[in-house]
Amino acid sequence: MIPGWTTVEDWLDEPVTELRLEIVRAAAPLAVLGFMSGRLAHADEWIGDAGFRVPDLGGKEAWYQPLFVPALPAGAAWTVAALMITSGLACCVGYKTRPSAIVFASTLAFVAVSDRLAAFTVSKLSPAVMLAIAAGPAGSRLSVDAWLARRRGEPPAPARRSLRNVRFLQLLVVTIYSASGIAKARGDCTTATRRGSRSRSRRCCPRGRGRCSRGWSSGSSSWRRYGSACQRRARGRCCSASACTR
Amino acid sequence: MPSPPWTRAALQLLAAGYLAGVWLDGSGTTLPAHVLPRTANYFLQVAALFPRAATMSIDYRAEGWVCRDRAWSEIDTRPYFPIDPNDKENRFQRVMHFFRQDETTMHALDAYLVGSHGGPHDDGIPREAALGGVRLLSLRIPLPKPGDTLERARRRPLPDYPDDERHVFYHTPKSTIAARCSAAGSRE
Repeated sequence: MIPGWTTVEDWLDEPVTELRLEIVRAAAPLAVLGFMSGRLAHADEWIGDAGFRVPDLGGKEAWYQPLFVPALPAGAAWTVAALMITSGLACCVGYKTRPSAIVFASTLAFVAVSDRLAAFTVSKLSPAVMLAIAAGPAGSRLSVDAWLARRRGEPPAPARRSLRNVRFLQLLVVTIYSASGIAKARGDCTTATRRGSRSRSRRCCPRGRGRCSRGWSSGSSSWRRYGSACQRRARGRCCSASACTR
Repeated sequence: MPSPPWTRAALQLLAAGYLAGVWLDGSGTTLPAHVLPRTANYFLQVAALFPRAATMSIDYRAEGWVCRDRAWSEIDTRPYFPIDPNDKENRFQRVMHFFRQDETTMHALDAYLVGSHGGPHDDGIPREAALGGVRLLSLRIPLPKPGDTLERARRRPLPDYPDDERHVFYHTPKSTIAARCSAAGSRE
């Protein structure tokens, strides 16, 4: 037994207000659909064959194209968009909550992989949030499902109960912000102003400029490795840090 | 209906693995990238946003080789990439950000822009003027110093920017330009 595990387990199993889960169930799909709305309005360009598509790079640019998904015909692209909107709204109002959350999560995961160019943190994070909603008893209060259950004469769901998926969502916030803070601390946010951020600019690194540029602008660990390699080259070959600041 | 114990255990394991993966990726460990398939790892890359300070504002632009004028002229790419046309989340900005070093993608972008010209959209170059190729570049616009007067970002024409702020990443091979212009000339 891990020391302190009992305390963790007690916290995980401590009854919480189910309203918390219902708030996420109602608000998260709306927020995600709001974020996606600009893309949904151009579904044929976004995931369809009407717009530019990055060709299949065959794993060559694995960090930018983890999986190649061919463009959908325009009709199929609009169908996916309609499915996303319908399932998101159904989850929001709590109608067939679990299936609608799973369908919504699936469409979100599909578009995140289908078009890397329009995939952002929200795109990658939202499937996990929706699956967390689907994994619990979301929709048992303040929802169409709850209203239908009452009409069938079923007893109302308890207001408080052990909900590990609420704990998951709480831990997700802590995880993301702590990891984000560590990423920034490992970057140059504490040193850039003092040392002169130009020391890491592409201008310092004429050799391997392309690799260098990846390191500066993104958060993936692989890109950071390229960035570190470039910094070493910059220090060793191109110029001293002081020269770079000029 | 309560889930069977094995389902609960699997979901909890998945949730713990996901949280651990997000944290490890964000905090700079490469473990998830080594043990997970690329697609699974992709969904963990959500925490390490902007770890480095921006040193300049980067804007990507395109120019087209106008066959009849034998000169480069700026193409407004926004009609061909209509999602979020005026910000950094635009797909043209993103394809340049991620793939500007990838030759295959740049060739595909070249073909897409040249092929789209002459269609229903106004890209700033007359429709009847055939394009032989494109030149794709970035503008690296210095950020104002603390205390400087701030000007709201706006799209200015390419000639407004000095040469040292322009960096060309790709241009259509001369042979391709010649072939396209020759084909366009024979059609006219």
